[in-house]
Amino acid sequence: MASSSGNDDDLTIPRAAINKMIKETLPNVRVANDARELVVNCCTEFIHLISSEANEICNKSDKKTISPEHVINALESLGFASYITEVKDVLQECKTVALKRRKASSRLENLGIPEEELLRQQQELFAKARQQQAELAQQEWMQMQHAAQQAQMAAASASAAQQASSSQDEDEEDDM
Amino acid sequence: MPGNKRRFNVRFPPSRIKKIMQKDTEVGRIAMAVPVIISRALEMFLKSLLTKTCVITQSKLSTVMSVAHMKQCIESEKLFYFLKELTERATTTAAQRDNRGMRPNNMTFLLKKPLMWMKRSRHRG
Repeated sequence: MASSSGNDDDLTIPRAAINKMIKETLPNVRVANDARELVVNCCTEFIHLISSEANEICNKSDKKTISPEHVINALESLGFASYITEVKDVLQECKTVALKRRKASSRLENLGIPEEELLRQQQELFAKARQQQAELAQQEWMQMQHAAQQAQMAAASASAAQQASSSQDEDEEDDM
Repeated sequence: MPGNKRRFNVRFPPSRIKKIMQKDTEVGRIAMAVPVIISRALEMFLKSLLTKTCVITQSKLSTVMSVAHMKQCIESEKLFYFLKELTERATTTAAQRDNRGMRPNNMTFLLKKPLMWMKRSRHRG
């Protein structure tokens, strides 16, 4: 709950929810403000009535947690047996929702791969990467080699050509 | 909190209901579905209380449902007897007016008194 307004002792069902309930149950009836306040407080009383009885039933059983069954039995013993059918419907909805949630979270866990498998996949990826790097490096080396060879050959033919032309010059000088 | 627009299709907030329940120090742990089903039971209870009170309002040819009508309803139904003390306090203070003719706020007075549910055994007897 985001808001921290008010202290613990003013714990009631939100007024807006009550107003909505009144509006939906009695659409064309005006309800005095203090009557609405009384309705709000009746809610608290009802909750305590049921809780108290359910708690007692729970204590008599060997359970430590108040269960829906305890609440249903409380409703029965307090005279609200007519509520039980609908209450059981809601309980069923709760169970369905809880089941769906458990299934969803376990499906997610199964999609998540166990640790050893993850490690193995990681090693595989590293090995692949190393190999690719090696191949790349070798390619570059070979290209360099090739380029170096070409450069050497070019240099060699260039100097050979130069030598040829410079020896011609020397002969001409002798004749003069 | 994202994703907290949760699951339960009930009218009253289960978290609030749980807090109210735990005001009773004797109440310990509560299963998650419990506040949810109490929300539904509460809804049914209010529907019953409001509808029955409305019959009285209409029988008195009144246009507005009042505390007096509610009191009369509560006193006419055994099932609602646990609310008797609450209404008694409400109607007593509602009847009081100061010399300006204005009603005091009767609800703050109510909240300071111990609640009926502590004397729950009376209801069961």
